[in-house]
Amino acid sequence: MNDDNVRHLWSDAELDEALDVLHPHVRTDPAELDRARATLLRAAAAETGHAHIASPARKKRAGTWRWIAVAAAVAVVTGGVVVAREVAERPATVAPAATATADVQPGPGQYTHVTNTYTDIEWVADRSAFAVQQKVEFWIPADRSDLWMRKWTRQGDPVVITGQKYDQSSLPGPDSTTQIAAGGDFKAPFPYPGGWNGDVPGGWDRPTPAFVENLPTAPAALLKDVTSTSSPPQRLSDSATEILPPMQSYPGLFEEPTGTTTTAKTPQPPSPGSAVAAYAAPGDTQMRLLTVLSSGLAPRPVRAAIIDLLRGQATRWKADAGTETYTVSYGNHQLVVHVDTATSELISAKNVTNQNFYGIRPGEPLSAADFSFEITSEFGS
Amino acid sequence: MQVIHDGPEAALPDSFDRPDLGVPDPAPVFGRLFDAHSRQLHRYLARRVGDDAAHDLVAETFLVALRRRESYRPDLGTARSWLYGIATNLLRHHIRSETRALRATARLAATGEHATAGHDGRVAEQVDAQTRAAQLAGALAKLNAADRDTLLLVSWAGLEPTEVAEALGVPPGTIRSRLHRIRRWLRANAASVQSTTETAEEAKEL
Repeated sequence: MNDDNVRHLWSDAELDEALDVLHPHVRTDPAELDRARATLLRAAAAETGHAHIASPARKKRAGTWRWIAVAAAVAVVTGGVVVAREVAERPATVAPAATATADVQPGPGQYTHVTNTYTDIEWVADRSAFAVQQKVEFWIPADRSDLWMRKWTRQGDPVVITGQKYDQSSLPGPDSTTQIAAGGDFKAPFPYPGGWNGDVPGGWDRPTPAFVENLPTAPAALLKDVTSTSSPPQRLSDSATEILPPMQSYPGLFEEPTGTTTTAKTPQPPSPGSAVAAYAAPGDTQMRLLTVLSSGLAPRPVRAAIIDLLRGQATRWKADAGTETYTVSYGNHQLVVHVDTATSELISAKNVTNQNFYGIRPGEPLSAADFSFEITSEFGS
Repeated sequence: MQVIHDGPEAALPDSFDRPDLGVPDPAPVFGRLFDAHSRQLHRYLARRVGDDAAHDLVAETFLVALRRRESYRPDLGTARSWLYGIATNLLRHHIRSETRALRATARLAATGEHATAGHDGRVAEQVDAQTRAAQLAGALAKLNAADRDTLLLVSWAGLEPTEVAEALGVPPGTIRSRLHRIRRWLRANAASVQSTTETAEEAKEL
């Protein structure tokens, strides 16, 4: 700055008048504030375990969810084993999750088949981005000690988002890979959703059947459990720079089964630093909750409790027939989670950017994942 | 210096101005905080980043405050200052969109799109004021984030310099000298800030 240019010197009054006139038109939506207030109070109630007093319908807990914006798919991806839960007979009418009927379990010789169809953005050489639709499937035997199968498939041609078209050919790895292991004890690398192997201990970060079976079903107890766990989770958003780049910490995403590793990494946009990061957050708690929910291993009461807690994080939520959509905003991202309230199942999740992100325009998803669950007698088909 | 208020922000007793947030049940006190400050906070944030983003930021600010309530020290500042400090930190994620909007406003001054000539003296004054506002927008876009926060927390949020100091965690004297410097620079340069580099600057951001 300098004061050399005094030819157009304003008076203090003129400066104040300009400040007064600049961007004066503001529309405050009372309904939005009401929603924010309700969310806040539910979160406050959940903090003390008094949710049933303050808000009979929903228990709340505050949290930033900053980790979630790292990638929506992560919510259903970074958990260890992804397992299906039967939802073939979804009630046609809205029913509180807590009162829904028991899950239908696979019978002898049957499998729960989970399909996670997801689109995310892969970066190549820090300069080209592609939207790539992929699918991960799991076949989980009724007897969990039997053979499991997991399969990843790249579907269709990558769609260029930014960068040069010829880089498409540089997308690494095969188009499909399949693995089989007894008891779900996979050994080979599987750098896709649910790709963690037996070397990762069972827990909130790798929800094994044995772990999930012992989870409490009361939201308050569940929250206490997830927040008191001592094992450090997969860190996705501890540092300031991890908030803006949506996929920087995507674990293993770019490590191919063939052993080749690309240089793909989300470029770092210039960031002044993270405000949220200044506040140590329980984002890892929400990460764990959503990981278990997406695993499908959780019985319905546990899923209902998780959804109750997740709902409490939302800055906006919308209810439709049999489903609810939660929007969680923070930083430059919005996480949009869609759940089936009748079955307490996760239907989809997507991570939407609020600003131009290397050619991805505001309102467009950085990643998205859709889920389906079914019982089948066919192993791997 | 003119401080813009959007209606009265409740005159609060000191116990509420600096409440104990460490109570076993935080819902009542946070409800009162929300009622007292959310609307004004939204107005401030909306002037900076737009209505929709401001709604989200208000919600996020209070949720962060709730979660981090143990970090609030009544002896170090008012709850309002603390909330605006959180909001200011959260605004960091929107710097680019904010400066982009400011530049867009500034371009109006460069093109004169809004400067329709009026025969009436009052209209001419309004046009002058809007022209200056557009010029100011270009100048604000040139400020660094800390300077812009300081100025607008006073001018748009209506915080006193001591509250700004509490919000930003810097000494009050620093805020006063910073305000003096910013305003002096704006008075001298706002009218002459050029928008010729806007495109290049925006391109760098993408």
